Amino acid sequence: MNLKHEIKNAYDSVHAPQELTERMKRELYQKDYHEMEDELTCEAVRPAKPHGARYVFYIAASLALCAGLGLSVWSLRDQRTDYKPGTNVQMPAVSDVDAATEPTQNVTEPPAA
Amino acid sequence: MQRSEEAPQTAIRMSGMTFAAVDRYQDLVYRTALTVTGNVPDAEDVMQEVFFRYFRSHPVFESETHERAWLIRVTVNTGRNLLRSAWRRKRVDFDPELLVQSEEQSRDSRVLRAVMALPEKYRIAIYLYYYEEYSIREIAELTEQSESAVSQQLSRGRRKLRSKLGGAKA
Repeated sequence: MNLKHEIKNAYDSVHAPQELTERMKRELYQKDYHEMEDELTCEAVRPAKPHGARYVFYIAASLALCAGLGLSVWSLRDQRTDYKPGTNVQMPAVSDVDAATEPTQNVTEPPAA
Repeated sequence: MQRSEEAPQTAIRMSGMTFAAVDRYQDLVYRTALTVTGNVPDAEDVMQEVFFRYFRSHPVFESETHERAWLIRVTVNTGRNLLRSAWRRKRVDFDPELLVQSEEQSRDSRVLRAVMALPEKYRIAIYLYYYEEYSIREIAELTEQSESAVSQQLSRGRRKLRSKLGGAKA
């Protein structure tokens, strides 16, 4: 007899214990029974869902959020400082201004026509 | 809490699928679990865990082959997890003599003992290849290993088994 047949014959003699199988079925049944019982009980007792109130609440909350967002944007707009190029130009030093405005000695007059 | 009279009937309907699976695959799962764990108490624990998992997940299968493969994979993984568990009970090795009732069964028990004496990975490969008749590629998928690893386990397991059984030919 070859190895394959020997192994097959050997494993054929191994069976799950009947006692274990029956106990397992009983436990499964009880587990299933209690789970289903709980589900059915919960369905019967559960109060009706307040669909309308929930939607009203969602809409009110959305409106409040939008209003808040709008107000914050508006207040930011009031507080902003607009960019004005003239104000940001750095003033030249006073000495430079004086030098530029004082008449120089060596100014050559344009030749008279 | 309110009680419902519908519960027992629904429970019977819901458990039916698992009960049918238990009736059909109890030996497959038990043999696989015994091969992985190498002892009866652990094999019983694994079998129970596998069918509870089947019950909880309500898996949908394309075919019977798919269902068998699912059960074998879950059994192998559950068994390996149990072997790794630090809380595992003291191991009581499988005693094939408990099965012996005749001369023929005595020979079978010798073979079983030889298989159970192999290291776990060789046992699984030998069992799935020779008894469940899976190919090396299928065993590799079921046990999440490479084909070369399974092939190596098979050849080493076969060699060890032959030497234990006194030169039986494959």
